[in-house]
Amino acid sequence: FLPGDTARHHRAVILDLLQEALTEAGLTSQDIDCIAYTKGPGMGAPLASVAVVARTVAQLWNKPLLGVNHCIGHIEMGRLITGAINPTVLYVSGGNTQVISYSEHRYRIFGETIDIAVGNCLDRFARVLKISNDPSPGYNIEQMAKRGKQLVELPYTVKGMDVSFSGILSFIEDAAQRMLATGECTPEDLCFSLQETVFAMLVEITERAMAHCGSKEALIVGGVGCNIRLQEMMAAMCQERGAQLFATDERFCIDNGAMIAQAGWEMFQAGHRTPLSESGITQRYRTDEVEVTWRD
Amino acid sequence: MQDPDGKAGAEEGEDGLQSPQAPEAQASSQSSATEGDRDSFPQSGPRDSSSPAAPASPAAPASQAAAGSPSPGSPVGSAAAAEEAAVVAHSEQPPFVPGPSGDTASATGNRLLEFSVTVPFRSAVEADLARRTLVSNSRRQQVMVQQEFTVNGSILWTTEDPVLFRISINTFLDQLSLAMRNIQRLEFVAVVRRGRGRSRES
Repeated sequence: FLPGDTARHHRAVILDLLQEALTEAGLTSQDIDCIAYTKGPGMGAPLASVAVVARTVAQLWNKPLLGVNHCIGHIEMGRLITGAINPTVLYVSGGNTQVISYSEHRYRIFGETIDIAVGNCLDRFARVLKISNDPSPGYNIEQMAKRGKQLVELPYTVKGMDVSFSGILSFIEDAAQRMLATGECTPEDLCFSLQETVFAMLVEITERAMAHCGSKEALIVGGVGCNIRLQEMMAAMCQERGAQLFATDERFCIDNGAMIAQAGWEMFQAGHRTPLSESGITQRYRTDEVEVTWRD
Repeated sequence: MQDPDGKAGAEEGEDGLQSPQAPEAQASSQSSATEGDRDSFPQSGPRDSSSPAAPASPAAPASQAAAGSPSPGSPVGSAAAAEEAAVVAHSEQPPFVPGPSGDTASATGNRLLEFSVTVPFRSAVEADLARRTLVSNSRRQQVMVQQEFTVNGSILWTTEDPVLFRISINTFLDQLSLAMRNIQRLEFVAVVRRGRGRSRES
């Protein structure tokens, strides 16, 4: 996704989408309590475009404005849909990879990627193998991995509570063509091997966080959380620990507006408000920057 | 942002510019980047990197919006304003002044680039609404590109980086267009609903 093209798309459709949402819900501006929008993190141009509309609508309708952290949107949607009470969260997407646990009014980041996100790694690997983007590269890698028969050893990089994916990506970008040319393995084997390796890394750091927190619940959120193999591996780890795994399907894993509304609703109920002067977007909005006053 | 109450119709200002009179909206823009380029800022004189930048006067006579509002929901007002501002800005780019060796790059050197836009709104309320909507976004860029918003004047950009200059102005015009479309659309919907409410009562 190119930021400029994405922003152009958002500007072109957002007003119609807003009207359509209200019409479909049978609501008017008077029924709306507050305006929640994504303050960050993410790509600057699309975030700024949507923030412009949110500010304008909030002023025209005289409603409070709430800038929501995208990561917290995922977490609150996951908690709402699954009913998890106080899980250790594995947040995995194309832009973010974090292990998060709630403590004293903050979503604390226990571990994260020190370079690229796991979804970014998968997407760029798909590009190397010229795998289709339809419906998504990650989905197609998952389907191909089901047909893999051979585990190819790949760099496994866990650094304490953190993970690194750029090395494994560099290795597989370099080795893939050579191995495929010599018939050492098939593209399906590479998909399978990459998934097994990166998912095992994620399971390890999640388990470490759960052990540290004494947590009996794990929640997977983010677009990569749709991956059934990841859910299977996490479920196996949870079972060994006597813990419970919570996960959602693609309707709620993948980025969506409802999760921003859900988090915004929680914030609104807790008394949060975002003044216009502080409503600028933040491309690097950390999960632990938000004071989570709606939880004990 | 400028309240259009006042002069109506296009006027020829001291800079010799005459903006076409569009019925829905007009935007005027001025740019000046070189010393000696005295035609672009009729009110405040030429600007260069050695003199402090001053915002364009709110009474700049280059153009004023015609009285009356754009048709409800019409994109013409917002898009036309943005396009005209962009077109006029491009046509007024200062000529490159070659240095002694004829190299234009050496002549640009540390030149401070400036660009200002005056946007006529239907009312002061609308102008202030748009200003408060857009000023938050501009704060992010203040390190490399300085933007100055005034309630009754214009928006002035200053920077030394021509690439950021262009990006910042284009981004602003896109966002301004979006804000204006949003305002017009939501106000149109509110007017229609009020009309339906009255007809049900009668």
